[in-house]
Order: sequence, then structure tokens, then C-alpha cells
Amino acid sequence: MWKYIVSCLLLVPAVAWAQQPVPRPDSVTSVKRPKVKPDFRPSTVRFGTDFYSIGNTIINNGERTFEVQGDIDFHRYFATLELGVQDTDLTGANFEYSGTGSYYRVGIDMNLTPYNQDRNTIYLGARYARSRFQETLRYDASDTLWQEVQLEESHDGMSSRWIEITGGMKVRVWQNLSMGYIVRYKIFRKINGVPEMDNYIVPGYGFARKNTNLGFGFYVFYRLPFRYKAVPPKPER
Amino acid sequence: MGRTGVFMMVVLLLLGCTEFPDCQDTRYPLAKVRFHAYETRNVSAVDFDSVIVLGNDTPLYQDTVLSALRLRFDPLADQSTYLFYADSTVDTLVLGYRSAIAMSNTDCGPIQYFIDLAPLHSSFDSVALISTIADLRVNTNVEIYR
Repeated sequence: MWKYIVSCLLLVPAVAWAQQPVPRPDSVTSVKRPKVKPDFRPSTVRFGTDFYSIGNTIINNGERTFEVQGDIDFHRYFATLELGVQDTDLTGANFEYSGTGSYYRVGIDMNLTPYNQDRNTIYLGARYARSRFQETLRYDASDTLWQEVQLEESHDGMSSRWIEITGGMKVRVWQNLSMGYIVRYKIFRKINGVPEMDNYIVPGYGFARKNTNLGFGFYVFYRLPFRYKAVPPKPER
Repeated sequence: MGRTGVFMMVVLLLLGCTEFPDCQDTRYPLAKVRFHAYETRNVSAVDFDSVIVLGNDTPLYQDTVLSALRLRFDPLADQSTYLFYADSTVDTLVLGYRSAIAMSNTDCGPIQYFIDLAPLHSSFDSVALISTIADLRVNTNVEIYR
């Protein structure tokens, strides 16, 4: 059911994008526009939160994730900071697992549609991410040969880092409010702490035993302009 | 088809990347030992009366002829002592190891795995360590020559 809700939410920015009026030439004779120098001075900050994680927290009892994102523009680039916390509690017939930690990601997005008058963006980017976490696992390993075997392992002060290749879109839906999704391809994961420890979940990364992971986020943003900057005109070919 | 159609296709493709449980963890709590004739070095079957691990009354094997055995570890210790009753004699093998537990995944639950296997003591003519990890993909951990 959650997948269908997500799909419907994802369609909102897509439909909003698709309904933009297609610009038509005002006259038959084209006027050559002067070349505009790129303005790298920032003009807007944008704050958002990941509703996919919030939805997952509501639906999935064992996992609680909260993530916020902020970015600031430099011409067609956005410097991005993402902060998150994640708690995981899993219980089975013979085990209890709990993990808790926080993470951050810093990176840059490149706007592939810098001339869009609504400041809608399709972007590609990269992130450097770090996470600190701890895990505890209790396991009842009793069987017919060895009875009453209660095992417990706890590891504090673990840390991890990885790189993300990102892509997505952000679409203005109402005044300064925009929404969009992000897809993350997580690579070069490295875990520090107990060398032989087999970690389960790295907050912000996902399943620790996987060398690469895919991630997904659905964000709602509020745009806070602090300086007027016109959308640059599209250069003529 | 337009932009919306392309976007919907991308979303559907991405939803196909949802995680599925993978219980194919090859680590397991057994050491594989293989018996060889000391003189010829060939694999040799042994007529065991019983094989037990010290601290547990239940025999691991009883009245069987085998050339390879799978020996359970004591999950709460860092070494296990095995007694091999065969041909009216008793031989011992002490295996040392380190163990840890890890989540395989939510559906499969945790596993206990064993690493750094090493023969600490033996009354056999000779033993050779072949692999230090207990894993399904490992053919032999210890070769015993008698």
C-alpha cells in the first residue's frame, strides 16, 4: 500500500512540471540576447525534510528515521547539507536487535535546468556522507545439542563513511513551497570500529553488508530568498 | 508519451529495487575435519564408536564409518575438545576459535559464526590446519592424520 501512496506523491511534481506552459516565440524575427555573466552570489536557501522517511517511520514500527536537508545556490550549483537520525528496533522469535545513530551528508548538486522560470530543477550531484552509530544484538541460540545459550554483542562508537551519486528533481507546487524526489546510489562504504564486527544497519546508508546501496527520498522544501536574482535567460543556439 | 510517462516509468523501475530478504549466509557453526592415513596421506575412513564434544553428553556421531566429520562448536566457549572413540582407543582434538553473532536479516534472524580456527592440542599423529573459518564454501578446516 505504501508503494502506491509514494507513487501518487511522486506524480505530483511530475504533473506540475508537465503542466508548465511551453514558451512560444513572440514574433517571427528572433532578437539576439546579450550574453549574461554567471552570478555565483547566493540568493536563496531552501530547507526541507524527507517525508519518505517519516512515512516509513509511521508504517514500519521497527525503524525511526528523521532527516532534514538544506541547500544554497551558487549560479547553477547548490551546496547541500543533510542531517539525519535513525533508530532501528527489530524483534524476532529468538532475537532482539537495536541500533541507533546519526549521519550527515555534504555535497553539491548541479542544476540541469537553470533557465526554468519557476526555478524547477532536475539535478545531478554527489555527496560525502558520515555516520556514527551503535548496535546491540541479543540472540537465543539454544538448540537440541546446546541448551540455554544466550548470546549478546554490543558495539559502541562505530563509524562509517561513503560516497553518493545523486539525481532527482524539485518542483515548485505553491508559492515558496516545492517538493521533489532524490535517488541515491551509495558506493565506497567503509566501516570503522570493531574490525571483525558484522554490522547490520548503518544509519543513512542501509544494510551494512552491501557494498553498494540504493536510497530514495521524497522531500518537501520551503524556499527562503534573501536577495533578488533573476532567472538567467536561455542563451540562443 | 511525454515527460510524465517517462517519469512514471523511472519511478516504477526504482520501486523494483526494493530490498528482499537474503538468507544465503554461508557461515555456519561446524568445523569440517577430514581423516587421512598417516603413512599414505590418502583420505581414510574410520570406524567410530562415537564422537563427543566435551561438556555435552549427546554424541555428535555414533557407530559410523566416515572419513569426514562435521564438529559442532561449544557456542559459549573459545575452544572445544572433541573425543574420538575408535578401535578401542580414544583420541582428542582441541580446537580454538573466536565467535561472534550477526544479523543475517530480519526474516532470517541472527547467526553465530566462528573464525580464527586453530588446533590447540591433538593426540593424533599429526593435524594440519587448512581453513580458519567455518563456512559452507570451505571443504576442510582440519586434516587429521592417524
